[in-house]
Amino acid sequence: MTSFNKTKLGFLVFTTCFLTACGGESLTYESQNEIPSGPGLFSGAEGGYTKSIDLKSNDNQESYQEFQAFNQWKANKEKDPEFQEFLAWQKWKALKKQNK
Amino acid sequence: MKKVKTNFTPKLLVSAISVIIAGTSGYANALDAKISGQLNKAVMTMDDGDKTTAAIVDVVNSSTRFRFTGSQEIDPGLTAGIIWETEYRDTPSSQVGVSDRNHGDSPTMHERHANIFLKGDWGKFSIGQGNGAANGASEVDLSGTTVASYAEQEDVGGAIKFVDKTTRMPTVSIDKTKSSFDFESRHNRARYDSPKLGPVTLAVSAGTKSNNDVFSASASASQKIEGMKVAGTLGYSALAQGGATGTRVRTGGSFSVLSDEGYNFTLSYVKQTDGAVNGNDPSNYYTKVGYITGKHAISATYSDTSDLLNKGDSSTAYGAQYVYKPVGWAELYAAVKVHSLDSKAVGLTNVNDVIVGLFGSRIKF
Repeated sequence: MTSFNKTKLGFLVFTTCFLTACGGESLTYESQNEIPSGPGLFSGAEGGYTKSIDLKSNDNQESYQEFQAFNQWKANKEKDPEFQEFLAWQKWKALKKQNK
Repeated sequence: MKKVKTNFTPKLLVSAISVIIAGTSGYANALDAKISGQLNKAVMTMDDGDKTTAAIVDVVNSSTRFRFTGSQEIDPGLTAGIIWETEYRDTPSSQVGVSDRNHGDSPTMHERHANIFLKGDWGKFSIGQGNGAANGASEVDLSGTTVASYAEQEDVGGAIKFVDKTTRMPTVSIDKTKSSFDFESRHNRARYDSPKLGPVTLAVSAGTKSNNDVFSASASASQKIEGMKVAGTLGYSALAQGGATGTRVRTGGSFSVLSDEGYNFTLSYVKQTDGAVNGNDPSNYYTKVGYITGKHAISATYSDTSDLLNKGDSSTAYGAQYVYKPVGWAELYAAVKVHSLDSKAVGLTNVNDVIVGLFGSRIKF
């Protein structure tokens, strides 16, 4: 059989297979070479460690307020003399390293 | 001089992102993130007709790996998510040989998937490192024994060399003569999967692999029909290598049927058309018959790769495998196969068969 005919035969088999399958009920194929679904040794029935984060929780709202406060502090810090001193110290340190 | 300290922690960052998502979408209530993984280790015995030896390997059929997945509905009918999967292969079964039993025993993390997706009634769009649209199209298999053996035969023992019967010198390795030509595997790409059209799902992808453009397409179907399960995929890929090498095109697919009684049959065929003027245009077919009863699955396989290294070559493998799955997270398996090379090329006309055994276990954690 030539390779062209082999290819044609292959496509014919697959097409027949697809058409045959049209009459049945849906099935989700899962490759057995991937991490299998189902239970895990440590993770139990869930098959993995799931972390659910409640996006509307009070904890998150509080954390978000904290985050906003941090942003505000970050925006204002450039006016802080102590921070200016820190920046000058960093600059001096870099220069000293460069001149070594 | 005092150093300025911040109290900005990763926990705070996660919380901030969560609240921002909730605030902007007005829809998200919870985000689910999942970590899962597996180890797959085996003793691989190797007999090249001259020497017999064994090695402890990570089985490339389904390597040791872990992944993070997560998804969230961000708008009514629209879900966003991520898949990040990496493997950690210590002495991979595809790279260990008779004289190189510790190959790759200082493993590093290897990226498999790192992509984000959006999905809805219109289908699914993914971008990043992941399966090309046709990856896996030559590997559809319902036998329950793929952890021990599947279409890509060179994944176990591929680096073992055929030994000349007369000179007793090693010649070429199995993987130079044998391949399942699986449609350019994983790479960086943008991919679209259609919703189910009857039993069929269509997929297309475009991206780059080893600095070459690659385009892939596939049509997959899986269905339960009276007394059996049927799954199949047709695939196409084109890798534009440029220059004299030209474009490498692969066409073919695979299908598998499993009866309610446990009998199963699998067939895979892929043809590669080389872009080069005098390309070999190799092909591969793979067949498997098997039986599943309760926690046990057995199967027998035969495959033949034609014209890969030299025009006229035939690299065959036949074998048998058994998988025992006592619980959902553990499989114990044994497999044996015989590789043969029939070639008219100088130095390859008189080589020994290679016998490979595999005795191992895959544990999902």
